[in-house]
Amino acid sequence: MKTVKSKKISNPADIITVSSNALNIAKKIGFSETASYSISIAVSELASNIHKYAKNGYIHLNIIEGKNTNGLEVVAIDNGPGIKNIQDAMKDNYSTSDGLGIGLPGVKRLMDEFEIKSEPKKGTLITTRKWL
Amino acid sequence: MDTKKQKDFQKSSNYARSLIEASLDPLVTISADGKIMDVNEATVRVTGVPREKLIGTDFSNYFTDPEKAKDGYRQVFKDGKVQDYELEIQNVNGDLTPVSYNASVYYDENGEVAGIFAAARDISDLKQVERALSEAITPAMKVWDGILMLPLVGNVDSKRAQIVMETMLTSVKENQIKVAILDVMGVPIIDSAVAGYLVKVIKATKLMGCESIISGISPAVAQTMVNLGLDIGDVTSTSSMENALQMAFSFLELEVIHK
Repeated sequence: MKTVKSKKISNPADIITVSSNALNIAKKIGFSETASYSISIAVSELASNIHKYAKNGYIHLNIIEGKNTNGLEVVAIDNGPGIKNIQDAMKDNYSTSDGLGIGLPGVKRLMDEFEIKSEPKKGTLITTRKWL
Repeated sequence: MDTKKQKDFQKSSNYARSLIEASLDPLVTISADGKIMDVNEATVRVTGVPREKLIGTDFSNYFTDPEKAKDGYRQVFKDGKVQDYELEIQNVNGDLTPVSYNASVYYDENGEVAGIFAAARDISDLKQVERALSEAITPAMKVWDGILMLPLVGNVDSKRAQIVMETMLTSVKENQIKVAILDVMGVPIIDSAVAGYLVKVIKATKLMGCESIISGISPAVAQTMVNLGLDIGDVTSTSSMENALQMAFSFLELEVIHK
């Protein structure tokens, strides 16, 4: 695993920066136009969630090696309020804010693998991967 | 303290004071409970509050967004520093000054955190340029009687979305627009937030009796929007500007005839 980008998320401009970074990295390592775009949107959604709920956090972009192929791993981490009910948060159209309620289930659909760990008042760690 | 030491102390203290006062940027020191401990003349000027009235009051009182100011100094105590933290200072006369803070903790002689030293930089000019730029890259063109074209180029954030909304609604009213075409070909990232802004702009436009068409949805954007689960409702969208224009013509019951 090689970390190619670690970005602190603390204002809206960081969200745009990190999703553009993800788009360029994905294209560079060989993802198709659509797959690269999917990854950048997933990153954008994760970074927006950090900014919206935890105010601050980090997005790490890692190039990973699988058995047959390489992939891109996106790790979103924050020390925010955490998610009380993960099952609810993974439902479509569920949102505790005034967003479109896309968030996590959308991210899961855009990527190949999705793991979430969250503890109320401690924070949230989301690891998601897409393979070439 | 003997007289010499006292004199030296007075000298270095005067020196420190004159350095702080020499700064054109508003400087402030903040205690652990968020109270102002010391300020320079620049802070007095930008807030319009005399020095003795500033000291001992909540730092967050002097901003348009006190909660964000509180988050800012809490972050400094947590991380040791913050850089380029944007806030807006509210002068007692009502004037607003957008500023960017660099702040870090400082220590007493025992190595304990004594407070925060924060320096603000006036970014009014920068904000004005940003806004002008944002408006310049959001032109609204009347392409036909009753048809408006708004090509969006660059990233869309909440501020930009607000400008798009204002530009669009003003043009709709002034030029009696019946169909507005919003072209998003030049928007590099359309996530749920951007889609949300677009839907809002379109809803507001509809309230003014104007239909909207989104054009410039690329194959990658279309697939991603579907996977993301974005439902933009009954918004009309097309892949190309050409199609959008044809739709606008047919909505206005116009026909393009080959001579």
